[in-house]
Amino acid sequence: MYTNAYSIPLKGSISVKSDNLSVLVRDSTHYYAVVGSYAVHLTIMKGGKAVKELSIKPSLSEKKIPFQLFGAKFVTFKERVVLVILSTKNIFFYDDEGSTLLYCYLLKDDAINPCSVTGLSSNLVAVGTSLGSVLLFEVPPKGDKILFLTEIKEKSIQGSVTSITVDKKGHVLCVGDSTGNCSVFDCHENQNLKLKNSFNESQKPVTCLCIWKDYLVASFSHGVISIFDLYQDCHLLDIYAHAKYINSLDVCQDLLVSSGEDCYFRVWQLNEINKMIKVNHLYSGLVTDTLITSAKFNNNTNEICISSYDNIEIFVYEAK
Amino acid sequence: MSLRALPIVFLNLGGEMLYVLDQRLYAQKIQNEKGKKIMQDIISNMFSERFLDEVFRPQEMCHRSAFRILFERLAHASIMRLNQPSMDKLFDLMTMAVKYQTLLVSKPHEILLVTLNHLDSILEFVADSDYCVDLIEKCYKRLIKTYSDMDEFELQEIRHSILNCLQDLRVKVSVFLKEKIQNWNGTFALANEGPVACQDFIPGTIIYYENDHKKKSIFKESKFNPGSRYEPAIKEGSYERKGNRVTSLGLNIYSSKRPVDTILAPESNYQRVNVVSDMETCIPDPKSRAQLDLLCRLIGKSSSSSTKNNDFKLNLFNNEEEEFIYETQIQKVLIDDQSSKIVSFDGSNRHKDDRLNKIMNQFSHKGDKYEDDDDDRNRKSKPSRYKKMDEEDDDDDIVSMMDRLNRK
Repeated sequence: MYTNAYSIPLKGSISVKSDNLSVLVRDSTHYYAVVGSYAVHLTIMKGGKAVKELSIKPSLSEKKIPFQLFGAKFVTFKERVVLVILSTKNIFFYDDEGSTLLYCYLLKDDAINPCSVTGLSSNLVAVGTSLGSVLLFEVPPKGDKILFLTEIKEKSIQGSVTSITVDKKGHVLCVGDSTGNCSVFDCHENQNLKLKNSFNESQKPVTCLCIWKDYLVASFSHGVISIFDLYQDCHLLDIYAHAKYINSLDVCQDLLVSSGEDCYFRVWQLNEINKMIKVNHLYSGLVTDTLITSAKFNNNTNEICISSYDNIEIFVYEAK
Repeated sequence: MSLRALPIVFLNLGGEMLYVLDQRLYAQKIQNEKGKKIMQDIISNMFSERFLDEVFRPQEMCHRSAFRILFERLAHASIMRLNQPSMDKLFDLMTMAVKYQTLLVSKPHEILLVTLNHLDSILEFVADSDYCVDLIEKCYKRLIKTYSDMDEFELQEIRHSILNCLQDLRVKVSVFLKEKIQNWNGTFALANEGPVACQDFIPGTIIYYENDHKKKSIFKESKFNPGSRYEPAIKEGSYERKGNRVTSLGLNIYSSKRPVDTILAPESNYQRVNVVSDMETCIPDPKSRAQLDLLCRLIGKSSSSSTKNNDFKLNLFNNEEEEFIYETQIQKVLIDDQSSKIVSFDGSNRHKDDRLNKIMNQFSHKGDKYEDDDDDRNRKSKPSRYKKMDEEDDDDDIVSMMDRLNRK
């Protein structure tokens, strides 16, 4: 049972974009980054109070012509955290507090947009694009010498990249696309990504991906969540979870939270017994008349943060 | 962000504008023939092939204030004149209706059905004019050709682009409040029960599969309570020319049976928060300005509109008191919102752009001189929140060039 406990203020309102909330918890400080039209709204909370609220408006020229934004995510490495902001034509790398622009990568092709981002092991950042490629960057432990390494094009990615995720160790990269394909790559050897397998069960666009243990959890535009065994290469189950487009997934410990355009966020218990997976529905929270864009655990399963279109705060639901 | 969102939002906003104008022409008891002529003038401009060529060109979405200027220009492409409060109100009604429709679609494909509903209704306004019917028929074909094969993700991107363009708008509209589709805080009532979208499943089932040498079969099913009562999908809307769209989103809600419903809610029209929209504070991209410039110049006038004697004023308010209240509320919002630097596009500004000049040259006529700098000075001398089009100084304008060509 989760109830609305408090709100996190933002400097501006939230745009509609799937999976548009990123949460970073370090020591006792919580960082929340959410995407607006032309700005990423970043709020830093300490001891339950907002200690810093800012809007990061990435731009290059002195005239500050804005870029439309597609995503923002904290990418955590052993030595540092970077905030990666995806916009039309550019990928911006900021420090964790959004105060210093470390590096900006200009996309060469006008028709290409960055869509989703995640961090791999060995200080690599992977960005999926609208043309179905994956861009790899290397982030040094210190300093601003971020390097673009390579662009990976793989036949199994047939449409725009819609979601990209990595396992806890940073060794398995999964890429979801607009044709419903989930491609699984082995990334033990740094930038030499090797396609392990791919899944395409529904032909509906993949909307979000996450990895729990040895399983890939994928959500689709028709409201279904599917779970695949990453190593046995098989489709294990489908959850008819939402009545509309699913906008986000997040996993923490053995709990999964999903959110959809049906105004619901739902919490699921994941169990693995003798290599058999079982899912129990734990809770459905209705956020009335709200287009939920993202639901994320707030570092632990006790709290869930909800971002929603046109709102100027993040709602936090607490387990009772 | 989609490069294909502009035609959809343009046609939907245009449809809503025509609904409101039709209702106000009826309410102000404008002669039937005169009313028809006004609708034909606007529609022939809105659907002109050259104009739609430009609208359908893949491009970034216009800023909201650019649409405001564009539709002001379109509304004045006839003998009808709207003063600024009426134009403001018209634009509020248009944007809120399109925001509602875009939010409420049950799946991305429905956004195309909403647009088709608008086209179906617009066609009825000008059923007497073969010329207008022909233009709209061509628009149907262009729309279907562009969008009917798009995948769900692309259409969802279009939907997102439209919603982001209309972000932070919370004008309360009385007809929406009465129908209980809008809440008193300006948000819309979103469906969380009832029929699911076509090809979607009813939430509440978990299906486990058994995998034996790559052969998959259902192993077991379990049920859960999804919290709301869902029903199977009704049926899928048709993209056919005269097909059943199924959805009512995009149909004319201002029917003659409800002639007074185009008023904004009487108290606090604007639900503004202390947070400034980052859409309003950013500097518009020069490319967008050039794009707006070009679109505005492609809007012509009917030959009947060339004499100012024929002009008449259409009022979006039922009486002066209503207009006064509206203006007072807008002033209050502007004073409250002093920290907000509203950056407006000036559609009258001339920008030297190769593509634009090329098209301009297509309109050029011997003896007509295009004076860029003078015109620019004229416009700048008129301070206004949204710079109004001035009917007096359009001698230098492409529109007047077209008028003169028409007269000859």
